[in-house]
Amino acid sequence: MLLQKLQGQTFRTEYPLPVFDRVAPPPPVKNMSAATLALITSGGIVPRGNPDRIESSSATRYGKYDIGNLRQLTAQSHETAHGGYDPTYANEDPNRVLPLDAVRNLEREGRIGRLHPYYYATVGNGTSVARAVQFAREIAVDLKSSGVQAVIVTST
Amino acid sequence: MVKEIEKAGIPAVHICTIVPISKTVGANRIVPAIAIPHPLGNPAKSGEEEKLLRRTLVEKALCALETKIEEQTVF
Repeated sequence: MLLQKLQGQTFRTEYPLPVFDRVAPPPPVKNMSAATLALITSGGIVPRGNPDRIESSSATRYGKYDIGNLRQLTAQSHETAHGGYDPTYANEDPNRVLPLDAVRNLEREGRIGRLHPYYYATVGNGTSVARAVQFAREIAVDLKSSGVQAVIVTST
Repeated sequence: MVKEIEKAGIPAVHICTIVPISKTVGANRIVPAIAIPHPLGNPAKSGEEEKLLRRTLVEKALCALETKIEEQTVF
């Protein structure tokens, strides 16, 4: 390709950029105060000790974690498994990546109907698009069967 | 991931720090976050201020989920 370029000939790239498909936005949530909301993060927030051993980069799995009885995340309960950013702030206060404290307050005030009792997490650090698609497809089936009507995904 | 959730018919909002990536990959509802190591927080602020900041971002995300859009929108 370089030779062709130098000679002013037509050339074709040796490294085509990926083309991402588009999805038509689904209709908005009609009544958030009656809706079930779920949280997902690619920021690697996991229970302390990373029980599923989610890799710090190029993740091959995601976790589903019970938050049904938690009002917030703490440095004692959760941490980040993400290897692509300085973990100091997320480990100090994991709500900075997965905003459970704020969502619980809004739930109590009736701004949302209810928070789905599980959140889903993976590490978005060099993780392939194919994997991310696979994770989200599986998660979507789970959310559908649980009656979840709205989702917040947080990324670092 | 956001797109696959939306393909299943559930509206999803992406709170993310690097908005251009989210746009390239194709998220429809995007809320810009604070910084890579603390997207929903700011350790330079006091505890109360930081909580308020986080709440504001989540409220913005909820508004995004309640908004009818025709194309990618950064809220």
